[in-house]
Amino acid sequence: MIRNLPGFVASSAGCQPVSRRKKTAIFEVAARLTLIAEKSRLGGPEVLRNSALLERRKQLKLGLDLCARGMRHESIDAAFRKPAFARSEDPGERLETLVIRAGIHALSEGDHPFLIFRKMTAFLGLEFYAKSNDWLAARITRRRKSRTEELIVPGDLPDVIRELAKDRILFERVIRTTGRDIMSASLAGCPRESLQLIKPVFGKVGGTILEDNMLFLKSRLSTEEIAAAQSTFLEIERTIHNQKQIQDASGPETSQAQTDSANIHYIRELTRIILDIEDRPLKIALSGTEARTLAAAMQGMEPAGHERILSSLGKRDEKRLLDALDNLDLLETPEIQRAATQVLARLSEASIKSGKQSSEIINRINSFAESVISKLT
Amino acid sequence: MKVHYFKAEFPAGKSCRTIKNKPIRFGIIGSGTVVARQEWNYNNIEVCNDRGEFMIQWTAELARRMACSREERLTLIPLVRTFIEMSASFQEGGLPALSPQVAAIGEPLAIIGLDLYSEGIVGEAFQDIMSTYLSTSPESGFPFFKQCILIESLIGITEVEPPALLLRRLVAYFGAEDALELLESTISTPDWSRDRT
Repeated sequence: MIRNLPGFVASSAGCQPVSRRKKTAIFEVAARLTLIAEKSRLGGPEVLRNSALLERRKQLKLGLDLCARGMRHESIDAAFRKPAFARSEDPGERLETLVIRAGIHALSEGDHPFLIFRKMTAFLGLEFYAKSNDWLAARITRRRKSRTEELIVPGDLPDVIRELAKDRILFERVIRTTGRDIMSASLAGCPRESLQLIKPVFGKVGGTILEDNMLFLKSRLSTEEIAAAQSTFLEIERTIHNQKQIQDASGPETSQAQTDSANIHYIRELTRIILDIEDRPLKIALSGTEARTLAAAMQGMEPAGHERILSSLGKRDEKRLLDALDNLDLLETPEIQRAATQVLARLSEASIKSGKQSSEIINRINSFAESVISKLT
Repeated sequence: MKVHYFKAEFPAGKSCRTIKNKPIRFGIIGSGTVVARQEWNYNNIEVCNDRGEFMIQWTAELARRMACSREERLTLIPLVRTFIEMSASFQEGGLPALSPQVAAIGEPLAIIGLDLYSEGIVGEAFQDIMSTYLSTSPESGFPFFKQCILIESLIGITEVEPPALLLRRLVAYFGAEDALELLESTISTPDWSRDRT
């Protein structure tokens, strides 16, 4: 479920529409708060304190003051719930309070100013999205180029990034999986070339946020912290690289889809057999099967099958099986199916012996077991 | 109004129509725990998945905004299948593979969502921004329902969720009557089995 959607929808229920003129005025407030956030990144809480003193709008004045005093989420919420803000009948004023509160929340969390701006302008609706983009683009154009010195933390990362950039899809996947925060911290110890290779992945706005965060962290993180972020990145890169190699080795997409489809039918049929079989032969078969084998077979079964098996066992056997399930790693398909053939053999034997099972089920078990074995050999 | 919280376990493949022998209006398919708030005539229902994350958190207002006919809802089934395919193509080809497909759907909100994702806005920040856009959307009824499905899909796709989990996210919107059928008819999606095992 989309996070916070029910709450947001409930809080916006019954709100009267706000005029475009008022929304434009609120947009300007959001832009002003963003500029203050930009300055406070360099100047710290003092900038917020001074801005609060100069601010005329009561909500923004309050919010900046709270941020300057280091207040966090709950305290900010409590302050904005005061009757002066929360009970306003004017829809424009209510919207303005929502926008400022969202901005102040984001500022208190240390979000990048552009992200704060995005969070605030979303309240103005889709029609203000293009205007927001224009404003951000203008801000980026007006910025001065950073002239900070490079800080190089010794390691393989710059070479890895250079090599990775040759495969655009893999490059993007690694960078997005790593996320902008770890990426920024990693780049704080890399030559400028690495940043220039990665920036385009996030586009103009995202690239600027990446660079800003990198510069911000460069002066705040220790060499050890930067090295730790770099090794996290390298770990993610290795994992994704290995996954890709396994995928490439397992053949073209069509054969993978065929395998998946075959597995689906296997899982469904095995589950159906477990659900359809009579209680007595099931209990007999399960009691004669080793817990690990049963646990392995259950990795290829739907949850309904698990429940049937667990409910057919006594307390001690159930505990033994649950332990085996916990201790078992995720197995490869052939290993799961080999375990299943052993369980199927027990089921077939128990069904015949009990004499209470219909021949139709016994035939189904046997022919299913045969088809699984033929694929395994 | 007094609010009672209660939990009910329910098995996979069964639609949850009652909790503590009392009927509820919405159901979900898949294993998990229902945490229901007995409020607003059972319209407020929260459903967690096995990891304790909310799969569904229904409120009366959200249900009212999304209200549309069953026939309308069912017209989106092909779109749900498209999203499942899109999630596979995203895992193969990344953002360049996804962008033209989202553009082809022609929903501005989804295009903006992808734009924000490409900027590197992810996780809670992404969901909060998209929730804000949805809540301020002038749409209601079927168009709003469709927007929610689109954004829910986009979140699942960009978080590289297995198609099976994405499917479970989406079928929940279709109500207990149709969710099982939709789940079964889409079960042959690639990667489904990987998730199940």
